[in-house]
Amino acid sequence: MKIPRLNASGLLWIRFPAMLGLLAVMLVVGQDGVKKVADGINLRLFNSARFEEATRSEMEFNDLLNKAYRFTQGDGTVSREDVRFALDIFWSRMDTLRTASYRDALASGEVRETAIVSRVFASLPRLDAAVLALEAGNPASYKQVGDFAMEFQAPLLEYSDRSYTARRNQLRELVEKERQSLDDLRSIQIEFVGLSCLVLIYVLVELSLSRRINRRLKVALEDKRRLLASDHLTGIANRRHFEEALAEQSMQGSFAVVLVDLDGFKGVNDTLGHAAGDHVLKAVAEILDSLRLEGDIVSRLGGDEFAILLDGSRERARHYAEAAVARVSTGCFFDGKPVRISASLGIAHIDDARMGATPEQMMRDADAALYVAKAAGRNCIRFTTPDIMAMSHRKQALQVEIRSAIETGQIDVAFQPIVSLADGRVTSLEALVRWEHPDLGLIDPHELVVAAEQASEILPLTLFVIERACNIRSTLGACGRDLQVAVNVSPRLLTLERFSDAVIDVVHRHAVQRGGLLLELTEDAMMDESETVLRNIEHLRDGGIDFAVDDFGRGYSNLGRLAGLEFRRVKLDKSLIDNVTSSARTVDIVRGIGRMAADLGMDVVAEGVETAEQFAALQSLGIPFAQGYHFARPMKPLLLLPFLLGKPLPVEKRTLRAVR
Amino acid sequence: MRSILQHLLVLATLLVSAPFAHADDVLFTVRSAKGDFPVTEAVVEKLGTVTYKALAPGMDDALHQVRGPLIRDVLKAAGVEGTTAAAVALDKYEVEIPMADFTTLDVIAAIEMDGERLTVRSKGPAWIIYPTGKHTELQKDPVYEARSIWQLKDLVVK
Repeated sequence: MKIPRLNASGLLWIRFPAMLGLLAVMLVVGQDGVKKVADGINLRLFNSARFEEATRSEMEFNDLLNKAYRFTQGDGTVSREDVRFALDIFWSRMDTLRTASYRDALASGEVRETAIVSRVFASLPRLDAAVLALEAGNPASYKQVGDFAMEFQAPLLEYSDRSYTARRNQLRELVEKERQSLDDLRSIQIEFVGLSCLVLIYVLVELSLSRRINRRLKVALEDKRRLLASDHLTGIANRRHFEEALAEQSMQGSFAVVLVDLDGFKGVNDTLGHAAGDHVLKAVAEILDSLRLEGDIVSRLGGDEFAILLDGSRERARHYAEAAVARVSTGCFFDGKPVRISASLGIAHIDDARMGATPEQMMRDADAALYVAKAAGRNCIRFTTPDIMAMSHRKQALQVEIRSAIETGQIDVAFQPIVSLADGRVTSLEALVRWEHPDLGLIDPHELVVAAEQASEILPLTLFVIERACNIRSTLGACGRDLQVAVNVSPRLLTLERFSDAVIDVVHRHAVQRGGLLLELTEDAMMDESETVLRNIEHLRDGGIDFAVDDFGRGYSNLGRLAGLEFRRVKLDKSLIDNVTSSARTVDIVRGIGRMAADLGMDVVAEGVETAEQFAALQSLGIPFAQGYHFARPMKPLLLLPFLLGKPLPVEKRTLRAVR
Repeated sequence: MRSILQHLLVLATLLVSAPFAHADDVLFTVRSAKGDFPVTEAVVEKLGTVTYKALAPGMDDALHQVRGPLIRDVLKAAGVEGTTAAAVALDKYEVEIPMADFTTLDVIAAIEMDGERLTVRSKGPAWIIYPTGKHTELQKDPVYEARSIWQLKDLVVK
């Protein structure tokens, strides 16, 4: 799956700086507009009075003339003071208009006739004298003022007109400016709207982008979740997903837990190779998935184990299971060659479950049912039954309790003597683990070992037995009896890297001599000669520990292996001893094995000798050692010591319960 | 002969009256809803005057020594309050001045410039002057130049 890149478009990174840049430009332009408008206002205020005052000068001159004339005509409403005041106003106006700042202002309005003002001002004392000479009601006294008017009225009018025109032009310009300012204001407004739109668009783009990113993230997360929940080989759900679904499964609903285990899958892997094995797994996954309905979870737990959380009735579960078994057993083709395969199914349906069962318990029940299906000859289905669930429950109980049982002494070790058939002397002991369960009674040693293996307690259990074995050796050694002690070892322990170190550590702590401890391995214990197993065996042998083949003659007896690994001892299975008095063929086999073992330099021990007849027969066949009820039952140390140190054999008292 | 005598009499009156101010000569009038308050030489005498250097807009670009009563003192004496004052000149020029100018700035009604009493001919008898010598930022500001009204006749408080 491709994880989507968040910066999918190369231009995306630039959008924020670009936005800022655009904003800055628009702000500067807007600022410029504002400045223009403000300057317009300043200009408008500038010297609007200048031209007006120039224009007024002519009016004021006329006012003076008018008043002077009326005064001399004897108009009683005009006093000398009025005339004088009009002159003062005109005087002051001329004085003002001749200043540099007024001249400049007027020149800017194309008013060139400013010289007249200076001329008038220079002549003002003359006008002053003329006004002073005015006489009320004497028209002739107006002459001097009249002469002054004749001289200056026309040019002043010209000057005034010019100023008036200049003022009008100025006003027109101001109106133009005003309009320009309005335009500027409008463009500022447009800029503002544009700015707002830009910000809005930016926000919208960001929003949509983040939504897109969000969507992609969601898709990526969904993909990742699917990836985490699916099995990489077959593409169906994996253990994790199945367990999550199971934990969430409501116990109110109708559903079944179906466990599938392929029969003979290891054979396919071994003979046709892992590619073929993978092909088979895919084919099976396809079959199981094709039968799936909405709401079902079909998963591969690992290896050749599949688990299905099946929705619906018990009847539906049966149909599903039967269809699955039928279709798997038709086999498949690999490399054009048919591959024979079949499946066993264990089904735990909610209808069969006990009150208060949990999904996890149903899983264990289904496992127990699968176990039964396997035991029933494979290629079949089994629903859980009360018996199976009881068995499952018992297994569960044992797994849970095993550790505390070791700690509290419920699990203990008994020792069964192995005697020399030649002289009846005890030559070694076999340590046998016992679990006296307070509720379930004495637990079968095989069941105990299976439970320990499933609870991952097999190493502590075995070390505990070895510890006890070393203890009894020390005790006996102190009493002058040096006996080899044998301990049964689960084949799986040899696949643990640290196994040999752990055992040798115990042996060293107890200062056990070479040959003092012997580990018994069952035939199928040698199933896997991996490097780890061989290294463990070698390391232990270097540490002075012997090995024995246990239960030889039961199941497959591989003579080649006997030759390959140097065993110190071979133990004949009880099934051979049982028949040694009745079957001539068995006698031949026992004799043959005895000779062969002797030739290979191995001790031979006959297991489960119960009668004097068997004893005699074995003696006559030249078997050197034996163990069994005929000689002694397994004993706890407290009884073993007086037995070994006191009484001679064979023992008649049978005070202990047999464990094997 | 009579006319000559009359002539001389008028001249004498003018000569006597012009340079010398009389206590009840009205410089300008403060008008408001409460009525008119003539600002006479006596009023100015009573209020006292301040003197500083400032530009005289409409004259030249030089600083001049001006003297006159603070407008806010005048308004206080007139007992008027308001937000704006419309200043009207003898030549009918008119401008509105915010009253805040008078409280934040030492604006005066100048009656004397460079040691000489202001007359109508020299833009008197009262000329509103802003303290542009002290507040240089006000110099050449068209707003304040427009408010520096000469030949002040009326101050109409609104």
